[in-house]
Amino acid sequence: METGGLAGELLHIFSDSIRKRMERVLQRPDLTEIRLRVYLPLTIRTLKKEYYLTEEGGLSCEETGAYRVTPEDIRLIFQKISQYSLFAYKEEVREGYITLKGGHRIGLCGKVYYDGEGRRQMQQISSMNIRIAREVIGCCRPFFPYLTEDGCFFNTLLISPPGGGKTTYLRDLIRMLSDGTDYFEGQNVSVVDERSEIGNRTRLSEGFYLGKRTDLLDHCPKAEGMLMMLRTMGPQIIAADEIGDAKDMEALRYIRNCGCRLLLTVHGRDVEDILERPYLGEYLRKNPFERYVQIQAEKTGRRRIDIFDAGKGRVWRGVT
Amino acid sequence: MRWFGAFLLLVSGYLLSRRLSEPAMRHVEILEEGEYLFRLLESEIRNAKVPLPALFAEISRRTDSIWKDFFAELSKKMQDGGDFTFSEEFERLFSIHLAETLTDEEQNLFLRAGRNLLSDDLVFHKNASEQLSLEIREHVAVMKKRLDSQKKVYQVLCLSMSALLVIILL
Repeated sequence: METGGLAGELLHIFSDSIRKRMERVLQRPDLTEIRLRVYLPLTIRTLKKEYYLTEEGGLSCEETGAYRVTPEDIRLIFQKISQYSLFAYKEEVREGYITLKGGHRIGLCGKVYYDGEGRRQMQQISSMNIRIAREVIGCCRPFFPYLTEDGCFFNTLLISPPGGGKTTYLRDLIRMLSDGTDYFEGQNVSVVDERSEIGNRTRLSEGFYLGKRTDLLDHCPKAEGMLMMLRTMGPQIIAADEIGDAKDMEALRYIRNCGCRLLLTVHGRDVEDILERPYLGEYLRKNPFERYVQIQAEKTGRRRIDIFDAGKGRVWRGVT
Repeated sequence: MRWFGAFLLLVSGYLLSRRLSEPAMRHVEILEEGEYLFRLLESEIRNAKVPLPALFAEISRRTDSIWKDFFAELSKKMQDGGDFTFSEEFERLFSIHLAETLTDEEQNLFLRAGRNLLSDDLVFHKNASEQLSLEIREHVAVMKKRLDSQKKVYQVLCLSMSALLVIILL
């Protein structure tokens, strides 16, 4: 998605006092995060650095002269991102996020309480983290051949720390697998999009293009969704974001036994880190994936990609 | 010809009495329409959990009465953004579009229902909606009774005047 559209997707959610200062900032193509914390300076993170938003609407590394977020700012933003309809976003708020048109995820932090039915709720929002979604078409092209062989896609796990770009690469991979390339025939891909980040099929938007053979299940828990798609949509590949718990592992076992290929992502530093995890690590030690794609952010803002096979031998390395 | 003229005079008297009752009848229709639309709103909130801007736009499309412009403008205002509180904006637009048509008591009923829309408690929504419907229906029942009496009074007056005219002319 071009950054020119970013202002149109995000500007309206801010209070007037922030909006007039953010107009120029939202034109930047390297914007990755906007953090708002009550009574603290508003911070902007780009691919390379972190800045403070100034009172004049510029960016500075100095805290003096930075715009400080007020409780009223947070209240207005929360009101707008929930479209004045908290009843419609209760589930998302319970999980601590709301996804906007454009795939941008707003993480919420506040006071947690439990309602009459024992379910977790959140109120008194005190900080927000707006993660800018990026659609980078073709970012997987350099290493796509290493994830396939003889027209077959390897079970692949994308690994990176938070904010590393997993979802961006996932989106591009899904597109390439679905549409096909010169040497790879397009396949039916079923996507389970629990947080509406991959396809961003929000109520207001048609979302990202994910390929002509892709079916998307929006806002469904991963384990349930993957099994549902397997039974109903006849996929050759199933894709999901941020797996890790015990239920996900049960679903993976079943799906792999049915011959379906998997494209998944997980938070983590590297392959070794993932293999130490309680559920996922245990599963992967016994049933390794054929490909692990490790994504590391460099200081230049680019991403270093390392691809390993099931035996942790390096297959490819490069920078995209 | 004279008798035909007399007949026409009596018919005009009757039609005049109906014309005089029309504003009150329209008032009742607007109240009933409002009650129906709010019930629809609450039902959509509870079952489909559609956000309010989209819901108001949809409700606006489902009516041709004076409620249409109110809901359409409210939906647009919410979609455009701006630093306002929902209840203040609801009240402001309500007073622009409906204050001249509804009494203070009726306005308060709908304004209270509007404020209740913000609640995230769906059980409260259901109860609030039922309460509003009950109050509006009671109010409409009282108005209809008054309207019936009023219609009869107008009919009697207009027909009497027409009859008097007929006698004088004949």
